[in-house]
Amino acid sequence: MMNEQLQVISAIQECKAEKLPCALATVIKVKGSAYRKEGAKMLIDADGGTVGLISGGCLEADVAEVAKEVIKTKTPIIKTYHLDEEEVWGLGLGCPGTVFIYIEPLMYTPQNIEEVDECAKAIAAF
Amino acid sequence: MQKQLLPFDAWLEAIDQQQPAVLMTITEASSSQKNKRVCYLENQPSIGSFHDQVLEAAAKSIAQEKLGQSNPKPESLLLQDENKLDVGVFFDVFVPSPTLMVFGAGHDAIPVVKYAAECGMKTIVVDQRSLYNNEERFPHAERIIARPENFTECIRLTNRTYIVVMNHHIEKDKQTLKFALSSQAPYIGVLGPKSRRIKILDQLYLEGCHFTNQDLQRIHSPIGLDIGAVSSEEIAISIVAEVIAVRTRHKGGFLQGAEFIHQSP
Repeated sequence: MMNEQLQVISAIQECKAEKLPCALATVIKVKGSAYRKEGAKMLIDADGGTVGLISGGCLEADVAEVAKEVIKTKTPIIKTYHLDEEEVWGLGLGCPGTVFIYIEPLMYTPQNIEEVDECAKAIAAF
Repeated sequence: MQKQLLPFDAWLEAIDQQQPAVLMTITEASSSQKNKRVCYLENQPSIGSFHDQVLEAAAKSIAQEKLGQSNPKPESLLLQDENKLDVGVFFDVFVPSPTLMVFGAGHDAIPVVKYAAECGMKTIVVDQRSLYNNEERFPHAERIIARPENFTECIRLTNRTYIVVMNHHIEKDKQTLKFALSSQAPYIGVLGPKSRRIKILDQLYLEGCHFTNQDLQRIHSPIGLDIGAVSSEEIAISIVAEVIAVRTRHKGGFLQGAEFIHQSP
């Protein structure tokens, strides 16, 4: 795992420690050429602040907006980006291809941590 | 929703402890299956369940296969559940960072260790001279102060240890090479020209060390990619690039004219 991606993992641990809600975006499928491959991650906080890269810089802002919604709805979604070089060339987007991004809420709020503990206890008892 | 946190937390813990793990997430399926997760761990029971034995068994066997590969890639795959319906599963893979172990703490080792650390490798410098092998010179690295005769007791080599031999001392290089060849290390780069490599190997042969062709194929000497490197920094780039190429099983030439940038695994 690259250093930059390990920073994403540290950022998740920080959110967990501080019990802050956040969302994780992960590249799960790439068709054609892409700057970032499957497994690339970006963490987004409730204000849209980000850590990590999931593309060469052309998708981060949009994914961060979607992630803010995901934090509110608490439901994971898959966002698909078709990046046609012919169409977007003029915009300087150097990442042609289709990219599928899984965006999920990581709800480390105090209440949820209790619920998880309950769940863990139930499993341990089983 | 809440159940998802458990496999995900197990995954985070595995990364924290540098343990290999595969996080499997159902991304395409009926709504009842979607987002279910299993964290597959090496030599430990998995965490979480897909609540579908056929699907889970198929996914776990893929996860196991991935952890057996030297450089496994995360990917999405279509599997079938017990009702023979297609289910999309994303396999995220964590394996500990490869280690670059540099023997010789000379000035030319400094950029090698620096660039390797910047590329995310764990770095270790081995040299008995604490005057050279110190934190000031190698702030990113773990340092082992040891003489070649103590290597066996002080140093652990694995199949994820990439070795660079640059002692600038032919006797030490010989002893280091002998030690390295006795391990599972996939890459053993030795600084110096071909004639020096031959001299070292001839010496080892005379001392009764016989190595198989497979052993010898791991030796890269002259070390590095052919980029015409001259300065320590350029040579370091050439060495670190070669280590990356060996790890990803790429050839290391120009991409110009290539059909693909990345090889399929």
